[in-house]
Amino acid sequence: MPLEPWQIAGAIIMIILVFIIAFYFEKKRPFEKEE
Amino acid sequence: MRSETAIKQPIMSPRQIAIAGIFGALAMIVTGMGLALPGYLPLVNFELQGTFITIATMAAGPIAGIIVSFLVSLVSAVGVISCPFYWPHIFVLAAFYPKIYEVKNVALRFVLFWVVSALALFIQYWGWWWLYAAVFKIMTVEAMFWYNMVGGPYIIYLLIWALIPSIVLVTTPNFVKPRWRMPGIIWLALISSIIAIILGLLWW
Repeated sequence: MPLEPWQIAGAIIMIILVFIIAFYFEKKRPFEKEE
Repeated sequence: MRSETAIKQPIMSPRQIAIAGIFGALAMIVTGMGLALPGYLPLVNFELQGTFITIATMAAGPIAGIIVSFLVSLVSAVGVISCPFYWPHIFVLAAFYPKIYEVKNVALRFVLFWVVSALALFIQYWGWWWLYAAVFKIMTVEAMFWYNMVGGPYIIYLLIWALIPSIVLVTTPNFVKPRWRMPGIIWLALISSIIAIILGLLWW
């Protein structure tokens, strides 16, 4: 069964989102003042 | 009356709770929308939660991984019963991950991460094979073993559980630095692995 276009688009968006979050935590270091 | 002399340490820091929440939400959205690779079993697709569970475990510890596994099991096609079957993978990864992170050579660290992910996935699989054989009665553990290990699904699941997390490990190492502590994680990993494998072998 081939993937539907919305699945491919959704997967790409999710991968981009994961890396945006990872880079945000890497550079801005949110929630780390208390530690 | 016993006086409290030790400073109370919270189980999770705000950062760890935030990471568990964010990746739990992403996993729920992806799985709840039905965003999965087709063709694993009848009515069961290759769901993608492994990516989110792995990243949460790396960055915020095994409790974060368990939170993500619970949240995603609420929307998974397999149902909430699937929640504990992720735990052997979470515990085995968490037992080795701080040691992997200490490896200075980036290439070696990358390879070791894949090796441990492959081992953790293989152990995790036994519990799932038991679930599909004993509870859902889709096929026997023996048939699941040969289908998964030789027929290709093991490779696909390994990519789901390790590909993006391993890229995250290389590109944003501070984000996934293991600042969490989990007492007795070696024992948790060992006991959960033994339970998963014995369940699978008993229903072979």
